[in-house]
Amino acid sequence: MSASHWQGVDRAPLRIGLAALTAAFVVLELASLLGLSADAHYRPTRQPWLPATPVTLALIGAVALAALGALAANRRPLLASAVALAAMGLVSLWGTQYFGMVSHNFMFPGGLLFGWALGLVYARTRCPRGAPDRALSEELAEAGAMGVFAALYVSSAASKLIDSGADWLSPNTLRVLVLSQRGLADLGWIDRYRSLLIDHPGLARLGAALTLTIEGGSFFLLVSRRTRTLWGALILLLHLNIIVIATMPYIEPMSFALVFALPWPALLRLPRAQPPTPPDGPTLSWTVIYGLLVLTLLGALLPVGASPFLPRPH
Amino acid sequence: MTAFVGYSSISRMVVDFFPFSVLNMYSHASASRASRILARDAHGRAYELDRFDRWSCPAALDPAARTCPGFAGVNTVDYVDREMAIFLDTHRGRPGEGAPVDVVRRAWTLTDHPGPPAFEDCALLHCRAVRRP
Repeated sequence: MSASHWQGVDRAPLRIGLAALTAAFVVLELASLLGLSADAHYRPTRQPWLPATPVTLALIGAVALAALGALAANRRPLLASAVALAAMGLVSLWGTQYFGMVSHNFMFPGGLLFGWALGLVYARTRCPRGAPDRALSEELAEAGAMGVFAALYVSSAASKLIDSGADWLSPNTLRVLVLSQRGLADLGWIDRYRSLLIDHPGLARLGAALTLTIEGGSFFLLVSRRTRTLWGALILLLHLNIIVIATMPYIEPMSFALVFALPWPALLRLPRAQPPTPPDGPTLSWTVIYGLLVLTLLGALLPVGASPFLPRPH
Repeated sequence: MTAFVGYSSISRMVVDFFPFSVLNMYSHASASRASRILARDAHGRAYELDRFDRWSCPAALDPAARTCPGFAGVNTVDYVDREMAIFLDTHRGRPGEGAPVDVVRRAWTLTDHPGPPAFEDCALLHCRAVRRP
């Protein structure tokens, strides 16, 4: 059984939604970079190999937006996705140089677009004798995007367990987060809620456990429609809670959870057609899948992420 | 499932390289002392810095200043501290304007016991500023 709410429904709104949201986040990131590059308080942490001037930012922005426009219009969607990803990669690199750390929020539009493109590639491998039809391509593209979305959250939970083990469940984890950000909001009930977390270690410990459970259980997004809806709602609640306790808006993942995980076709009563019939062709073998799984485990156990040539968060 | 496993594997290897990430920004267990930069008025009440405007301070705020003995091990968030320093620099007033306000680093010591955590302040700057309505 597919976990997609869009099974048998035209996925054009999903494709357009992905392209439109990604375009909006590219514009926001570029605007932020433009502001930083003009602000004397910020200096690049290292010499950028391509200076982030208004002209270069506008050029890269134009390329990214044109590619995302082509994706929305379904014109050569694979090429459009690849071009958009390349341009966004440059924006991410600039952001790293100016902020001194990568923008993790920007990984969500990048990751979902990468997953969508991966699905398009996979659809082509399943149709060796010609181009796959749009319905099949977008079914696999959606599966790819959701696979990456779930992977981001599960990776986040895995990072916590790898770096801190059970210590992450300490009541201090959430309390330090609240106190270090903006604890004095002067906002009535929000201040009272924050005080409740700070003053009650048991509640803070429960909050940490729930955070880890929601993140780590995000593979349920891939299991069935019901679990996708449930986990999408839990992810939205998790981020709403983070906004309330620490004034940290994760708009990117919230937007994608809203668009991809909720049952819009049923809510909007969109007309259903017959689901596409997968054509004969090579499929990814279980050997490859198990191989990737082993790589994941090895990656978790070995400190291979310490490559000096890759940007690291500070 | 292929995308899930593939993305997870590559991310674990590269850690943070667009569009791959293991989202490890809050993966380390926190220390037992949290801290933040605040404004403290003449009555000892604490506020966010942006509750005041037209700041006049004897020097620029250096969040990394190690002027307080005993504050060496406290948890700080660099980008939040930097925002505070930039806020002060971009909201300067005329010298002598407003009321006395201290810019302090407040450090809370967290324990497993219920109740508000104990805190101590370290004065970073003695300034004057005008309270926003």
